[in-house]
Amino acid sequence: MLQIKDKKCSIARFLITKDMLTVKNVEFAYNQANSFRFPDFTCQKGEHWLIMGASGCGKTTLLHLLAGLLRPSKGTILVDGIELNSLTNSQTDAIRGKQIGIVFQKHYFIQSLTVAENLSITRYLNGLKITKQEIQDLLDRFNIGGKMHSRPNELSQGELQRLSIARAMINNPSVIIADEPTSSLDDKHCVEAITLLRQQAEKTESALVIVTHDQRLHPFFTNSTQLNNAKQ
Amino acid sequence: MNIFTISYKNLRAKPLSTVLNLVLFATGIFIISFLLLIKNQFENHFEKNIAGVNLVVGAKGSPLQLILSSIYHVDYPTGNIKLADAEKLKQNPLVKQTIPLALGDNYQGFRIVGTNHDYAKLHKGELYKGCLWKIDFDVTIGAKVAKDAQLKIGDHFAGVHGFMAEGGDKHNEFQYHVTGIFNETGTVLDQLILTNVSSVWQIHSHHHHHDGDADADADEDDEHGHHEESIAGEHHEEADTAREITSLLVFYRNPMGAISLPRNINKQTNMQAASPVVEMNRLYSLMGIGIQSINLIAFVIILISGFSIFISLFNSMKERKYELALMRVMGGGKTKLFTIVILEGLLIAVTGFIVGFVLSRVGMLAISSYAESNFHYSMGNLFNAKDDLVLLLVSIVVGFTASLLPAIKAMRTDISKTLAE
Repeated sequence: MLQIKDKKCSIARFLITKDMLTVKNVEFAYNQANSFRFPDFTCQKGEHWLIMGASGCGKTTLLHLLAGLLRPSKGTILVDGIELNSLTNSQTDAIRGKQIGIVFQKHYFIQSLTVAENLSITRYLNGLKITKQEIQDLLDRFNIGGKMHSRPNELSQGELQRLSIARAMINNPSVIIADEPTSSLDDKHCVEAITLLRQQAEKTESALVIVTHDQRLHPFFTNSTQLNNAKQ
Repeated sequence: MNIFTISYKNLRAKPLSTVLNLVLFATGIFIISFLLLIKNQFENHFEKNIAGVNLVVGAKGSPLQLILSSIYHVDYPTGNIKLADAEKLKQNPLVKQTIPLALGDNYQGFRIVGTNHDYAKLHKGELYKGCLWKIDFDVTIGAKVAKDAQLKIGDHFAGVHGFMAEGGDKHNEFQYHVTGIFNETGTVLDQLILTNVSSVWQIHSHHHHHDGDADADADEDDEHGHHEESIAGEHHEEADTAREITSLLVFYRNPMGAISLPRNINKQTNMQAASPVVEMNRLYSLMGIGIQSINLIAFVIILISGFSIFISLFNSMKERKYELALMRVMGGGKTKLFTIVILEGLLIAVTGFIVGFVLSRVGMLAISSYAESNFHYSMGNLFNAKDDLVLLLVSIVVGFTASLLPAIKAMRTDISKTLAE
């Protein structure tokens, strides 16, 4: 895997030095009647992109493609210079775990584990370690330091949202993708959430891609693309 | 945080179904382990106490009863045989050695056995203190007798007729004298009081004059209150023909003995010959049916518990499919997910095994203290490495098999589909 990475990296460095996420001619088909074509875009290191689209135009599909959960039927997706399609399943698992942080629309957590354990398992699954202090610092950064030993079901929606973001950041990923992070929030919390996401992404210089239909997010982004009439 | 913690926390999150599975599994293991312990205990005990005796010759009756009374000292003797008849057997060229046994009395439930010094050698009885019996009414006692009846060297005591501690007549006019105490041997010797045959004869001789009944007869109605007039010397003059013993332990000179000797004795004399090995095997096969059916029930319980583990895991996979997909998204490989679920099954199985294992030992200790106080039977050796290992392996196989399908299901979770729902 390292060899592939090195090879791809050298090619990537030669062509476009700081590209973190590249989508090129990507198409995906669940079946003949249900297929999508996605606009090309490139997200550079530290750049923030907004991908807008109405329901059913393939937002979640695109997010799953970017995360390597689905494989495109055509085209290429490069994460930090590595083409996802060229990797085996377990290599994709490893890349996804270490390089990509995902904030889901629904707040999925492992209910049998505490907040701190939910964070440390993310490290563990990628063969990384984390100290209690590091977890505490991270939670403090997201203003949920007091909830370290609570269960996910004891947290409020806003706290879960922040925990989701914290978890996406924990491995210092090069790319953070968020699926509708604000759609269920009121205006005040919407601003809070998007500010937090942007702040934290800036801190780690990660590329941030937000896939949403929430028009309120427009003013915060300079780079945006529209998933329009994506259905063929 | 490691894979083990995740499995453990998942089980902890569902206390009710986890406890149910544990209880089922532990019950199955407990029953099997307990039965195995008892079976081993008895087999050990039985084999050890046979001590190479090839044949027991005694009065006609139940052969099993003869073995139980003469080898294990648990049942009542079948009656008496004439010493003269027994002596004749000694002359048989197929016989290497014989040891006479004269039973009939007890002291605080411990049987008084009239025999010769060979009987002590047979059970490898080494003296802890004092010496072996020399003259009439000298006794050498087993370790357990010394401990429980609190007898010391130099003590005197009177035997009680029969084999029950209470209820028999006391032979007050004859006092036994303790001359030696054996080391603990782990055999029946620990619970016996050994003396010479002639002491037993003297105590019971009065009886012969009246009704000629068996010395060792268990009949509690025997009249034994008239010994005051008896004088020890008188009995020594009695003709050998009138003398009786309870049984004779016989050792063959060579394997040929097994072929002809028992048949000849059973056919041609009014005595009975019984082989300890044959009789004990007969007893095992009788007990075996019972033990096997209980074993079968226990295995069915373990299977049901395996099935129950399977169902709980399978159901929890449905509930946890988002969590499983999430772990995959966070970088967890398929093998890790597989291992987590397999570990959950194994954790229940192995914990169940440990609980059942410990319970069976506790149960055994309880039984053994009961048996010790009631039958003077002590049981040791709570471990049988081979059986325990087999049982542990069975547990692991059941735990693994039960969690295999759920684990495969977990491994095959379609992340994208699950998260898009």
